[in-house]
Amino acid sequence: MVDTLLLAGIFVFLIVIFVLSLQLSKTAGEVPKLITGVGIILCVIQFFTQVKKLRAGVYETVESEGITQQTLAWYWNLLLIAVFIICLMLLGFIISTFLYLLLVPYLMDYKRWKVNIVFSAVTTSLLYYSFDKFFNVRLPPGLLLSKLF
Amino acid sequence: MDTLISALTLAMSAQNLGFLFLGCAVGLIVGVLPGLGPVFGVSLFLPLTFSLPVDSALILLAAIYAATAYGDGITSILLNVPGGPSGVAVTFDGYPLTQKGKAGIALGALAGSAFFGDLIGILALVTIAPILADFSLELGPSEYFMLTMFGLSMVAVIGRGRGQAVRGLILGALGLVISFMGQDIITGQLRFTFGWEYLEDGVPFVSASIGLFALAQALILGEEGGSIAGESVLVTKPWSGVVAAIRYWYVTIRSAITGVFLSMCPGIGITTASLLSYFVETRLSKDHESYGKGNVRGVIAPQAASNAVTAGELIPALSLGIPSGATSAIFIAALTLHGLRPGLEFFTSGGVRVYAVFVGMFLAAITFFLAGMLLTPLFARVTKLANAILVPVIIILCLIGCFALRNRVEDLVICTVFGVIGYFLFKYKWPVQCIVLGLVLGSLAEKNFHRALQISDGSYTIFVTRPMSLTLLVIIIVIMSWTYLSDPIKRLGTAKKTSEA
Repeated sequence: MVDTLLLAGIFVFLIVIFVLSLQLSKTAGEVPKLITGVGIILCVIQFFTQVKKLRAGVYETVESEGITQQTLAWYWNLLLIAVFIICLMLLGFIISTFLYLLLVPYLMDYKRWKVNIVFSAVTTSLLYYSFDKFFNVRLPPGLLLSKLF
Repeated sequence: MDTLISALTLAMSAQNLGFLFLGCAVGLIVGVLPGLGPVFGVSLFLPLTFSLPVDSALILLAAIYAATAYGDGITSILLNVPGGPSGVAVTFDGYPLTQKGKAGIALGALAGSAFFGDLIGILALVTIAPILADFSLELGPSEYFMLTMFGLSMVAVIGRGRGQAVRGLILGALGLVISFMGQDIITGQLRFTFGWEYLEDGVPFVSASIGLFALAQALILGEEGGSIAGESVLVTKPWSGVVAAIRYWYVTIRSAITGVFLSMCPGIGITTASLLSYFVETRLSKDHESYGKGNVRGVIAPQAASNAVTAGELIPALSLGIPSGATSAIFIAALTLHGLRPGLEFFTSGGVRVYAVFVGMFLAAITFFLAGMLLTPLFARVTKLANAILVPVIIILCLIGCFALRNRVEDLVICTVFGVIGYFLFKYKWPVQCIVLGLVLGSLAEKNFHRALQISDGSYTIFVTRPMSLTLLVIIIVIMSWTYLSDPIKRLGTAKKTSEA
C-alpha cells in the first residue's frame, strides 16, 4: 500500500512538472518535458507490474524486524526534528541541541540520566566549539535570546 | 636527482611536516562530519595560507583535500552516513560489511584503496599531466553530454542488478527533474520553483544527499533500536582490508584511472567519479549480484577513484590553469595569492618548490593511511554504541552540516524532506542511488546538450558526427541493450540447448 502511494506521489509530481514545463520556452522546457514524459510512462508500467504481482500474491511486504527495545517511530523522530529546527531558530544552537540530545535518548528508553546529561553537555560543547570557533561557522544564536540580551 | 633530493628535503622540513599533519587531521575531522566535504575544508583554510610559503600552503591544502576524501568514507562504512557527497558510493557495500561485523576489513580496504588511489593520482599528476590535460581539452559539449548519458545509463544497470529496472529508471528521472529546478542555465528562465524564492538557486545537492542517505538512515536506526553491529562480534582486521585492496589490484588501478580521467573533465567532480567507478565495477564484475550486499570491491572502487580525483583535479589546474572543480579552483586561487601563475610558468619559476608539493602530497597519503589504520579499531567500536545515543548525534550533525554550508534554514527543511523520502525508499527497497545519479548529472547533461545544439545550429547530428561522441553513444547503447537483453538471450540459448538435447 505504502509502496503504491510512493509511486503515486512520484507520478503526481512528474505530472505537475510536465504541465509546468509546457509553459516554458522551448530551450528551458525541452529536456524536462522529455524526462517527465518518460518518467510518467515508466510510472504507469510500474503500476501495472505492482498490480500484477499483487494479484499473483508474490508482492513483497515490509515486515517489522521485531525489535521492541529502545526504538522511536519515524514520525516521532520527524516531529522532533521539526521542533528542533524551530527551537534552533528561536533558542539558538546551544540550548536546543542540549535539550534535543537529552530528550531523544530518553524517548528511546535509554534512561541512564547521569550518562545522558554528561553526554548531552559534552557533545553540545564539542560541536559548538568545533563549528563556531574552529570551523568559523556562525551557528544560530536564537532570535529570542539575541533580542533579550 | 638533485632536484628530487632538494624537494624531499624541503617537503620534510619541520614546518612542512607540521602543516602536513595539521592538514591530515583537519581533513579527517571534516571528512567524518556529515555534509562537510573537501570544498568546505580546503576553502576554510585558504585564508590561513596567505602568510605561508607557497610549498607549505599547497601541501596543507592538498593534505586536507586527500584526507577529507578518505574521511568521507569512514562514516559511510560505520553508520551508512556519508561524511560528504563523495562518500555516498562507499555506503552501498561498506555498510552491509559493517552489519556483517566486518567493519575493520571495510575500513582497511577504504584506507588501502584511498592510499593507492592517491598514489596513482599523484603519479598521473607528475608524469602524464600535460598529455592528458591536452586530451581533456578535446572534449566538447557533445562529448560531455554523452559522458553524462553514460553515467545516467548506469541507472538502468543498478536497477537491473537489483531486479528493479523500472523503479531505478523512475528514480533516475525523478533525480533529473529535481536537478532541473531553479534558474535555467541557458535562458535564465525560472523553472519549477512553485513561487519559492529559495528554489531559484536549485535544490542543493549536498542537503538533498545528506537527507536521502544520512537522515533517512538515522530514522531507520531510530526504529530499529539496539546498536548497528548488534550482537555480532566486531572483526577488526584492517590489514586484511588493505590486502584486499592489493589482491583486487585491477579494481584499484581501474577505478583510480577512471578517477584521474574524470577529474580532468570540468564539472564532473569527486562525487560523480566515485559513483561512476562503483557502477562501472558492478557492471564489469562477474558476480555483480553480490554488490550492495557487502562486497569489499564495492568499497575499493569508489574510494580509489575519489582519492585519485584529489590529485587528478590538479592536473589541468596546475598545468593549464583550468579548474575542473571547486576545490582545484581554490588551489589556483592559492597559487595566484602567492604570485604564481598556473601553467608553464608554475613549473619553470616554481623550481624545486613544485616538486616539494608533489612529495608533500605523497607524504600526506602515507600519513592519512597510517592514521586511518591506527584508528580503525576505535572507529569500529562506534557500531557497538546504542542507537539511542547515535541517532540524535547523527541527526544534529546532518542538520548542522547542512546549515554550515550556506547558513540557510531552508537547507535544513530540504534535508528533512529528502530524509523522509529516503526513509520510504530504503524501507521499500527502491534503488535510492539512482536518484542521486540523476541529481548529480542532471544540470551537467542539460547544459551540455543545449551547448552542443547551439554549436550545431540546432542539429542533433552533432552527437553522432564527432568520433568521440559517437564512440560513447555506441558504448551506451551496448550497455543498455546488454542490461535488458542479456537475460532473454541467455534464456533463448538455454531453451535451444534443451530442445537439442
